[in-house]
Amino acid sequence: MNPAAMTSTRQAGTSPTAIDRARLLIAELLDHGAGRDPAMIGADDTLSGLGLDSLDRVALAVAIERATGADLADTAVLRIQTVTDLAGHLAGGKA
Amino acid sequence: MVGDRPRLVLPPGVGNVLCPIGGETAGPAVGEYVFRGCRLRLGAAGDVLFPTDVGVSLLAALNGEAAVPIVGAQVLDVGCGSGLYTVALLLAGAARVTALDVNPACTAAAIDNAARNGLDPGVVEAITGDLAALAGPPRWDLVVCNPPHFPSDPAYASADGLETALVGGVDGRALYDVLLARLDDLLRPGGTLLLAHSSLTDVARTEARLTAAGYAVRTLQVCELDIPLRRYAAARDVLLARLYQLRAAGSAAFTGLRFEVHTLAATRPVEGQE
Amino acid sequence: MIKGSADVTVAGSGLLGLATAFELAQRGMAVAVVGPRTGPHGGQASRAAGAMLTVFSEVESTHPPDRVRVEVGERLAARAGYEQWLAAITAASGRSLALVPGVWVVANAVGADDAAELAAIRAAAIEHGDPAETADPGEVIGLAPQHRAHQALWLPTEASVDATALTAALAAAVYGHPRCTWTDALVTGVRESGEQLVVAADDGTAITCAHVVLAAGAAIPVVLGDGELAEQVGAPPLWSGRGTSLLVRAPFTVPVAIRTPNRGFACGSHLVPRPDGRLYLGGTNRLSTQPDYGRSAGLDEIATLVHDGGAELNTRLREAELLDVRVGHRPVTTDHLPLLGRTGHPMVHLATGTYRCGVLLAPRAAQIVADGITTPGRHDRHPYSPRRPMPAPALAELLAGSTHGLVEMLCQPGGQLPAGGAERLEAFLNAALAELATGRTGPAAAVQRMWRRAPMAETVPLLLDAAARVS
Repeated sequence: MNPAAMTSTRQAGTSPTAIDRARLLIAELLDHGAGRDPAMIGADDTLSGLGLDSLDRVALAVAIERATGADLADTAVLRIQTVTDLAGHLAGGKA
Repeated sequence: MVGDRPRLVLPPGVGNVLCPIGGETAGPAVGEYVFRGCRLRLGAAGDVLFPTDVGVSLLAALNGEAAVPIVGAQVLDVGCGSGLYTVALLLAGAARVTALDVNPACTAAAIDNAARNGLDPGVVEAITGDLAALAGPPRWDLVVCNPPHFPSDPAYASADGLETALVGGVDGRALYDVLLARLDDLLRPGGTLLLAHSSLTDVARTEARLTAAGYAVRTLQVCELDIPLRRYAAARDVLLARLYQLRAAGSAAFTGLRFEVHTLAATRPVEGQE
Repeated sequence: MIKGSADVTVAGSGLLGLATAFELAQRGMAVAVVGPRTGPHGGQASRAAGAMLTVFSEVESTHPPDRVRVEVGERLAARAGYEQWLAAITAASGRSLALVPGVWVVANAVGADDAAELAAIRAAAIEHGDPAETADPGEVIGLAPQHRAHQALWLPTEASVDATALTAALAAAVYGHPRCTWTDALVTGVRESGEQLVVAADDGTAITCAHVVLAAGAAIPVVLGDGELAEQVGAPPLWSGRGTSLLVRAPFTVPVAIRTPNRGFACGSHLVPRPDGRLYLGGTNRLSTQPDYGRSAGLDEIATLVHDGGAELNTRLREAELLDVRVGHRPVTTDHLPLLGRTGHPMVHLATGTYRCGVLLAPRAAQIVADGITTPGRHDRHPYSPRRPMPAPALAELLAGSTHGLVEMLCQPGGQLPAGGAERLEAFLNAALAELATGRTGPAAAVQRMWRRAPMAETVPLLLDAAARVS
C-alpha cells in the first residue's frame, strides 16, 4: 500500500483497515473489477466522482449489511458521499 | 389609489412581530407594547386571543398620529378581546372606555389587564353582549375595532372564543357590516371610527359606504404582513379556497399568505356640516 | 398584489409544470415558476417526447381491465379538451400549434404476440366508442420495414403533436402571463417557514408561497430530500424511465405517426412527423433509480433506435441525416399511474408520474392539480392521488411475464437467438431469478434490495446487473 495515497484526513475512530476495505470494494466495482488500483482511490474522493452508479450502491449496501450484520436503509445509503463515509459504515461506526 | 400614506411592512415567516409573546412558562401569554410613550403589559389565556399584529398595527398607526384626539375621549372598544385598545387608549389619556365583547372571558380579561397596568377600575365599563344590543343616543367620541375577518366554513367551524375573534360569517364581513349599520347610533357627531381593516374583507366597500354616509375617511397606514392563522393553520387549504373565491369576486386582496391591514379613520360630520 | 409572495410556486418547468402554472394563472392565482427557461433542458422528458396522444395505443394485453378503464378514461378526458387547450396556448403565446390527426399501430413478428396487443388496443377503443380500423399494412405511408408488418390498426381519434414546439409555446404563454413570474434556475429544495413554504433555487432565489406544486419529474425525490417535510408529504417512490430519441431528415415521407405496440417495458418504435419534412424517431426506455440529468445519450441507446427503426418501421432510415439527439427522463411510479394532486401535506401537491403519457395528460393533470388547490378534497379519491397505497408485488409474481421482455432486451439491438434458444434462456432466467428472490447469498441480497426499492417489471433487467456486481 502506498503511504502517500493515505494523506487525506481520516475520521477519528476509523481504523486504516476500514479505509483499505472501502478502497478495495470500490476498486472491484469500478471497471467491473478490471484492474483499478485501490491505492489510487483517495479517502475524500466522492463515490459519484469515482463513477459509481445506483447499482454499485446496491452492492455497497449489501457489503455493509454483511459486514455489520445490521440492516441499512436506502436513505442512509444515499447519504454515503465519500470513501471515508463508506469506511465508517464498514467499521460499524455509523448509525 | 397609492397615496403617500405610511406603509409598514412586517417580515414574512414570523408571527407577533409588533407585540412579541413573552410570558411565564406556566401561565398566560404575556406581551409588552409601548404606545405614545406608555408601556403597557397584557396577558391573555384560554378563550381570549392574544393580540395579533393585525390589531397592534392600528396602535402603530396611531403612535405618531396627532390628528386623532384621544385625551379626554369617551371610547367604545368593540370586540375588546384581551383589552389591548382599552388599556392603550386609557394610558394615552382617554377619559373612559366601554369594553364590549360577546365573549365573557374577554370582558374579564380587559378588566384584568386594566388593573395589571395600574388603571382605576372606574374608568373601564365592561359589557358582555352583542353590538346590535347597544342602544343610542350616541355617547362615544371614539369607536375602535379590529373585527374578525375570515370567511366561515364548516370544515373549521367551532363555537369558541377564537372563532368569535377571527371568523366573520360567509364573507368575513359580519361585524364590519353591523358596525357600519349601527355607527350613527354609537358615534357622536365629530367623533371618529378607528378600524383595523383587513384586506380580506373589501376595504373599498367600507370606504365607499362611510363616504356615502357623509363620513370623512382617511387611511392612516397600510401594514403588509402574513395572515395570522393561529389554529386555522391546520385548515389553511380550506380557508384559502374560500378566500380565492372572495378574491375572484373582488372583495378580498392578498397574495400567498400575505395581506394588508389598512388603519382607517372615519370622522362623522359635526351637526350642520355637509 | 404583494411583491415577493406567490399563491403557488410550481417547481419544474416541463409540460406538466407549465400546464399547471398556466391553468392556475387563468384561475386568478399568482404563480411563481421555478425551473430552467433558457438553456438546453438536458434530460427533460417533455422536450425529448414524440409525442403521440395515445388514448388507446398504450394499452397492453396484460393490463388488468380495471387499470385499462381508469387510464383510458383519464386519457379520453384529456383528449376531449385538447384542441381547446392548444387554442388557449396559441392565443396566449402567439404561436400556432397543430395536431396531426391519427396514429397507425403496426404488428410484426418481432413482438411476442403483436396480434394480441393490437386486439387489446382495438377492444379498448371500441369499448369506449371510438373508431379503430384494421387495415392492410400496405396502406401505411412511410412503412417499409425489414420485418414485414402483418397487421395495421388505424386510430383516427389519436393524434401526434410536436412536443418541443408545444412546450416552447406554453413556456411563452406562461412567461408572458401577468400573474406569472419565472425564476430561470434549478429548484434545489422546499422547506417550511411558519405556515408558508419556501422554494429555493440554485441562483440563490427563495420564493415564499402558500402552496407548492412539485412538477420536476424524476428529479422530485432529490428536490424533496428526506427531512421532516418529505416525510409529511409521503410521496410514493418515483423513478426515471430514461429514453433517447432522434430527430432526422429522411428520404421518405411519414404523414401520420406510425408505432409498434408496447412490449412489456420497452415502448416500441415510433416515427412521428415534424414540420419541414423532419422526422422524430423514438424511443428507448430503461429504468433508472438515480437519474443522471447530465448524461448524454449512450451509443447503445442510439444503436438500438437506429436498428429497431429500420427493422420495424423503414429500412431507408439508414440514409437519414441525423439532426438532433435528445434524452428524457420519464417519471414513473411503481404502479405506473401518475401522481396528481394533494399529498400528505395540505399545501404540497404533485404533478408528475405520467411516464409515457405526459403530453396527452398535461391539460387534464393541470385541472386536477388546480382543483386540489381551489377546491380542496375534490379529488382525494382520484385513482392518481399521491396518497394511494402503492403495490409491492413479490418478484415471483412478475417473473413469468417479464423474462421474455428481458431476453428481448438482452438481444438488443438486432440480436436473435436460434429457434428454442430464447425459450431455454427464459426458463433458466426464471429459475435463477426465483432462487435469487429468496436466497441468502450476496447476489441474492442485491437482487432483493433492488426489488424492494422498485418492485416493477422495468426493474427486472436491472436485477441481472445488481446480482453481477456482488461477488
